[in-house]
Amino acid sequence: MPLDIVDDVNDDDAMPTVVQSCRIEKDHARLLSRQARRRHLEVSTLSSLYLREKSLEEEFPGIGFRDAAAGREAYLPGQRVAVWEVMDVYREARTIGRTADHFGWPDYLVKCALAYAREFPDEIAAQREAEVGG
Amino acid sequence: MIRLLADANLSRKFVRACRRLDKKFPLIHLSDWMDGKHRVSEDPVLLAVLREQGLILVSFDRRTMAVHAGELTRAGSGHAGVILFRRSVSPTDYGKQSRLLFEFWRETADEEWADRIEYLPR
Repeated sequence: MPLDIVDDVNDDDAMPTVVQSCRIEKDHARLLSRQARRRHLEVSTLSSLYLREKSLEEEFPGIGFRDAAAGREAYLPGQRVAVWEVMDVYREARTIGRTADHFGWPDYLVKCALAYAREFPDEIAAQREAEVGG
Repeated sequence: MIRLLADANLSRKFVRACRRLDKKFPLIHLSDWMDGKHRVSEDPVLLAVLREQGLILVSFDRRTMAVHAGELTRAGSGHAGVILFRRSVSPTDYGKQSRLLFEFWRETADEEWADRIEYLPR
């Protein structure tokens, strides 16, 4: 089957996907396998998840990802607060300074959350919906 | 004696508002507890540490927190209790949050709290 047909199939999804192959050291492959088994995932699924999240963490410093009730969730590592929770406060506080003051954080942490939320508003709304329902 | 721990999604201003209602209100913020070292802890770890310390977690409602608490109860290890503010309560309305918790705690402080999850307002 030509690869372009694989692409056509995947283009039916909300987010089109492409096949990306890469080489990794055997030790790391074993580690990845072990982690995939622990999480009851296919190695390819976990690899894809790691690639996605690591690339986003590089692009949006200060943002990490964690397991939540309905899947993975963007949050601020070291603060235990999800990006959607920062947005909830920001909507009321209306300024970065007041939002930072609410959490007792430096402004840049709020800016990190806002930058991510502006780039992925639907994802953040879905994460909020999953946690609190609307 | 401290009995309640405010999670990171609550403001220290909420803790101060509680103290204005009662100078000895037994609540501490996560950032001020154990030098803030559990600010990095995931829910199950935090709940397990709080169980050992006999502290009840006060947090804003997140389905994930209730799920983790329920899992600890089913696993038999249990938790020391969780109080969750419903999202109908504004995250910046520290006065309302403090009054809700203060009144609730006045009625329930002497009750059994192990493995209990309560929502405010009730």
